[in-house]
Amino acid sequence: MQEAIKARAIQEPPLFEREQTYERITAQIGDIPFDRHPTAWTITFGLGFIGTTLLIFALVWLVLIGTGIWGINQPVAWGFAIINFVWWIGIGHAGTLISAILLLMRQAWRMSINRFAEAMTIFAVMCAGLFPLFHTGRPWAAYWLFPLPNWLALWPQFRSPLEWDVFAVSTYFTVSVLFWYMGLIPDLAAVRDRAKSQLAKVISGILSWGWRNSAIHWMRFDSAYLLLAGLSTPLVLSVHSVVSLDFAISIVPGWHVTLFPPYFVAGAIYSGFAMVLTLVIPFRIFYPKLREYITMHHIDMMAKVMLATGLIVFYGYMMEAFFGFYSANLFEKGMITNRMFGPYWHVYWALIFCNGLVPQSLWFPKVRHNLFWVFIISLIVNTGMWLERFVIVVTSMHRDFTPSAWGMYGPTFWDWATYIGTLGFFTMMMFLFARFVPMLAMAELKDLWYRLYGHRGGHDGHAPAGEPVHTPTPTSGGGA
Amino acid sequence: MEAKRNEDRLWRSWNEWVDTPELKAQTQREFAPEAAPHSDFVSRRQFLKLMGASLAMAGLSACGYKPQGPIIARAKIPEEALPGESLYYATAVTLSGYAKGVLARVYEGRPIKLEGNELHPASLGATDAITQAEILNLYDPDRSQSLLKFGQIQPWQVFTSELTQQLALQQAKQGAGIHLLTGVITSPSLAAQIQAFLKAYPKAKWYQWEAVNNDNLYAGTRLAFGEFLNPIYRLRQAKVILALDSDFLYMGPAAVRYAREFADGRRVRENQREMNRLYVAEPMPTVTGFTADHRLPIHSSRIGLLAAAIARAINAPIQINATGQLTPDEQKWAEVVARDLMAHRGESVVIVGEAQPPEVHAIAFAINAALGNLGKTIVFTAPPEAKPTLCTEDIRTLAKEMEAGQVEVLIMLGTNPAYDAPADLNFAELIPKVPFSVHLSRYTDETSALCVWHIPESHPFETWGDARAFDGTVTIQQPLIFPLYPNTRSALELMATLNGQGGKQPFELVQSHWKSAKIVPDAQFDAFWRKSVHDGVMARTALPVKTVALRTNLSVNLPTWTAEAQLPQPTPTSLELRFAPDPTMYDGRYANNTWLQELPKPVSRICWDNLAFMSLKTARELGVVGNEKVAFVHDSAPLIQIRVNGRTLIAAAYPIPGHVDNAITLHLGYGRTRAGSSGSGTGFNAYTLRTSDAMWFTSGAEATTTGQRYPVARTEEHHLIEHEQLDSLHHRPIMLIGTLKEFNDDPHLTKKRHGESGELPSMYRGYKYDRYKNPNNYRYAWAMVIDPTVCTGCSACVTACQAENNIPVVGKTEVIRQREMFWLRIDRYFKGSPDNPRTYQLPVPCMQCENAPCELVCPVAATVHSEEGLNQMVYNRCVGTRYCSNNCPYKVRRFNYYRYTYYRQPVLHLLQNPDVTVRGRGVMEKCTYCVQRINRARIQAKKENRRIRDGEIVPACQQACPTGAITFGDINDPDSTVSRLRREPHLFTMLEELNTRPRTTYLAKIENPNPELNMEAHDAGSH
Repeated sequence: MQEAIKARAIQEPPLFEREQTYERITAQIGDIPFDRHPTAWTITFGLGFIGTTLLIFALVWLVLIGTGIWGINQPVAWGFAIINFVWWIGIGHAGTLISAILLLMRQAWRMSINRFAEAMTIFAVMCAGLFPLFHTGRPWAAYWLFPLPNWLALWPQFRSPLEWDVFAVSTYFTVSVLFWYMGLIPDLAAVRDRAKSQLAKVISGILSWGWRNSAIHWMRFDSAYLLLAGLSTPLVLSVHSVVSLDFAISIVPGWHVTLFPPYFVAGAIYSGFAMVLTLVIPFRIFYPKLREYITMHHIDMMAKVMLATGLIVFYGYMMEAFFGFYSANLFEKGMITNRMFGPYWHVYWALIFCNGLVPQSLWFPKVRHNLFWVFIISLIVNTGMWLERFVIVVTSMHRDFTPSAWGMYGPTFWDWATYIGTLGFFTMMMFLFARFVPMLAMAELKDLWYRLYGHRGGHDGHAPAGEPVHTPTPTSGGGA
Repeated sequence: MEAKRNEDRLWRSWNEWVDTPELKAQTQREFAPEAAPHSDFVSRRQFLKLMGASLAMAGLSACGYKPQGPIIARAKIPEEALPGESLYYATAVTLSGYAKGVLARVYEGRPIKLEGNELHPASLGATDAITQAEILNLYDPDRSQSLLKFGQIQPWQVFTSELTQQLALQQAKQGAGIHLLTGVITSPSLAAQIQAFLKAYPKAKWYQWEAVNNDNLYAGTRLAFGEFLNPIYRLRQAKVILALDSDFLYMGPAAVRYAREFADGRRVRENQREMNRLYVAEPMPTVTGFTADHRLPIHSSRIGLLAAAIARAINAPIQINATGQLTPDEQKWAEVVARDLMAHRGESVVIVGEAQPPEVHAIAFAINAALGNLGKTIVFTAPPEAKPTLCTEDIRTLAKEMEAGQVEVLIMLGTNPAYDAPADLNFAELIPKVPFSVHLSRYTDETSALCVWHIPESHPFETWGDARAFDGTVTIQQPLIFPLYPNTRSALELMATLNGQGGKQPFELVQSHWKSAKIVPDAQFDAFWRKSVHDGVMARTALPVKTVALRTNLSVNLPTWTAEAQLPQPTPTSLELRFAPDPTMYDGRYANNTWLQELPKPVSRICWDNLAFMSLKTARELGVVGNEKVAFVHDSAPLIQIRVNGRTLIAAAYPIPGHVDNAITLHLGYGRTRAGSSGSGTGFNAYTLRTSDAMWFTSGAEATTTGQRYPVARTEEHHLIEHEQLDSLHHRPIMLIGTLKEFNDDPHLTKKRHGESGELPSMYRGYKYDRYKNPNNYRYAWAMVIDPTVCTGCSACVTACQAENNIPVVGKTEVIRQREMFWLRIDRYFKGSPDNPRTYQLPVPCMQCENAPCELVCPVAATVHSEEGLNQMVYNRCVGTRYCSNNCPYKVRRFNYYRYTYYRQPVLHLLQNPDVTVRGRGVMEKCTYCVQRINRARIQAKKENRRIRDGEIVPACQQACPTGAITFGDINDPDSTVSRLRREPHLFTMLEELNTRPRTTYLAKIENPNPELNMEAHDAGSH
């Protein structure tokens, strides 16, 4: 196995931009939290902070006044909230895919982006989770969706896909957080050991749970990590499948589609990778140290995944249209015709442009290797995936079975405020993450380096010849 | 601190408050305060209002709600009311003086709901939407509560002393300076008081004014028969009905009865295969026009020609001098109708609307006479009015006298001439010229603002009174509640004060009048009185039918425009302008009634506004809509400027299918400036264009676009305009439409159109109702059948549902955002060309599906299936995910996006039905089949250890329906009416292929077109 990884990795473009040592890896990545942060950090964090306050403002107003401040109505009783929920959940998927599935598949290139992507997952799920909670008419009663024992013996209604959502999303969040934190423990220990201030030492000391780099720690860490990866793997498929069932279980034309689970999962990974790219490219600029570890090869691989999942998604669009007409069902046909040529035609065709046409440019290596274009395409894909959810939610609802009840939907200031607010919150959290936590999985990178090149890089002789699979960090001086 | 300051202010300077700019601003607010509960925290203004209402309430709790005088409960109940049980009292709601009998449900001393009174001739157990909404007028927070002199609050003593002084002055000249202006009065006791007053002041004058009046009809009967007569139609016997510019199914004091009789002649069942045929010729679609088998859009000014053509074809005994030509299509229409009428001699009737000149009425009477309909389908009585008069003449004379300064004392009872008098009289400018003007009204309205004295008027439900129905039947109006505001008086009390009987209780005034009327011997009077009050009708008071004969050598000149050589043909630059009473505002008196404001108008589905209606073609010619194929009209309409006879009005233009070309219809009753906080500032004031010589229609109007737009609230997309490419409606199994001929050929219309239905398989196990079979366990399966064949779309059911189920009003902005809360809506579909489409109306309540899509998707089990098959909604449990609404294919669920219920207006709390939960913010709600009524009947049946009888439960919609289109009952009982209807061959399930298996089903809509007339429209889209 090791040989195979090695062989493949060596044939491919380099996963490290220059020769590394364990110490260098630790120093380059582990010191970022202690470095002075670039002005870009301050500016972007500031924007995120403003967004977060906007979010809080919008949510407080919502709870005070009612969901009526949004543009939803009868017939379109779900609007931005559900669109954003699905969008954020989808974004989260890339993290889980990278950490779990790619780990099990021994994809070496995942090592340098998994920490980052997992953090993104957690923050995206946080943003996503806000929406179903706050979109309810009475958010203070939303906990009734949990099967809490009560003296009325009143239980949730388990046939409802919204109920499945509760379990799917909460499991997903829990496992994602555990996975991320688990992977962080050795790196936090490294931070603890390098920290200069007493506060940082204490906090990272507590958070690293007394990690002492012992072989038994590594052994347990390894099996726990693998187990969590195993747990996460089905989640990659299940969470967005369940989210898709929110729609597919209904009888509404445009929602009631058997294709939805795979199509949603593919869409989720697609948008997730787009978001990783959207984040990684500026981070590489803000923190030039990262360029050694997140190389053009990584960008290239992610672009390829985006292309592949994008094709699946596009296939989904074609099938939706095909079934709409082929079914000879009046309502299905009406739905797809309305999507394409009804009052929201521009959204539909914008979606086809963003998700169907633009990603095709990724067939060309030149595009994949042009950071600017990849960044732009990732933004377009993110937009496209948001539009996809808009098309699904709004165009299906606004003209369904009974023509007399047809209507239109348009977002209000508060819809936008909440959406932009979550974008701000997400940005703020990502930048806080960059500020306080090693952005890349140092231990895993060192491991990777060892696997690929052995101790070739240990030219300065500081690298102790340790345990072969996991190499202790050179500076770690033992227990806390 | 803030609150403290306001409180102080309220107590210190109440008078100031009445005249503050805030109040003016408040009266001009466009939307109901409850429409924007989200907009603000409690503002100072709202706080003041709240305090004002609380004050009133404080007074109330001191007095109790119980009315005074011995009122008599209708139900057979113990002497004292049972707590939690309602009592029903018979009384009447009046509109333009005419009574419609109702039973008022009074719960613990507060009236909360009106139902039709079966014994009353104008009700027959049903009501119309306006009557249903009358209860809200009682509790209107904007009602006037105090006497005002020049806007300053005054006690009664000041008024009475001033009045005495004035009367003493007038006494000397026999009352020559006294002028009385009232609405049309049918009330015998009030009329007696007025007569007594006129006797005391012989030179005083009494005028009556109604903006929507019977002038043309009375003038027409005078022309045809030589006297003022009141025609009564007997539509049950009529096989062919021709309505000329008449909305007899919706407007007028007998409309509810006419709708019932019309429906009785129209129901189609497997064993009842005859139906009447209705022809309507009118400019703007009305409820009647939308119900017609054949509708001819034609200008009001040309209806006379049409009538003349029919009269000629029938050889009616009338000489008609008219110039002008009908188009070949119109000519053909007239001939076909004439043939059909002649084929049904004695079984047909021609009805002419109030807008048509007297000559057209005369022609119609001649036609009816020629057809032998007189005495059969149309009978005549003396007018039920106390003093039949031509209102326009009255108001014109009065204006002239005011102009000349002859009016020294002007006493106005209830009317609002400053707002609704013809524009050319400048009435509003004349009122201030009167030295002593008194205005009695429920609101400080436009007229009150100009008068010296404003007297707050009691609501009829607060005091004793009487009124006549369209046929003269008298109803004694019992008070249902102690006056909410102590200073209010009824017109009767005010007149008694004028007559020096101020100390008398209204009960004495009414009873003593009837005692002296000597209808029964004195010995029997008490029993007679008891029965009259209890039943809501007074026996032997209906006016006797008069035998009338057409004047010999009857000859008419079709008016004015025939004097010119050529009839001015309406063109895009010379439009015909038609005024019509608004379907919900009537003449404007209901402007502050939020139920009626929000009720989608039966034809246009617009709420909170009147618009300048026109045909699509005219709209395009005027540049109102472009030539592009618009899929839907946006939530705004362009403002146009209408100019006619030197007067201008800016109004929003709106194309409506079926409107005649080159004409604009404006509904009266909008654009009020002092209607109250909800009614002021809505719509456009059509009265500014209405002059006394052209009360109903005028020609030569011009319209130009202004380039501005106006927001329009409507509850239905304007579908008609273009949907062909979406292939949306025509083949959707929403409604089943067939003709009588098809039905007679094969009544199994459903099977023919949609194939064998039967039960489709379902993935889910169906609900097991097996306990039904246990004879000892009374189980029911509730179901509803709606018959669109007789539904006229009058929307009485919608308002009845609103009243029964505490359904909140959301206001114009929220309706624009498609958040109206109606549990029951009436869908309107068009078929055929937009010039004159066929129209179909379909009431849509909750379908109560057996396989309910809503129940499946609720995560908290807030909507569940009952053992009797209802989809129950548990408001307490609902967290508001709204998935149920998304998954409802009928979209009958409604969501409380805000806290819509009137929580800042305590007086409205009195209105709430205690049997129905008042829903808070964030919960879903929907039709429950009036489950509270089901349970009430269940309790009664259980007490008596029996099954609930068929017909014992009547949901509010069914109760109100004038045509009996809605039937509710138990389908576990094979003999129930609803079971029988569900076995009809033309039973149809909306969206059946979804296999939701609704408990609400429909019969096919059957039409009875005349094969001689163009059948295209009937065939178009027939599937």
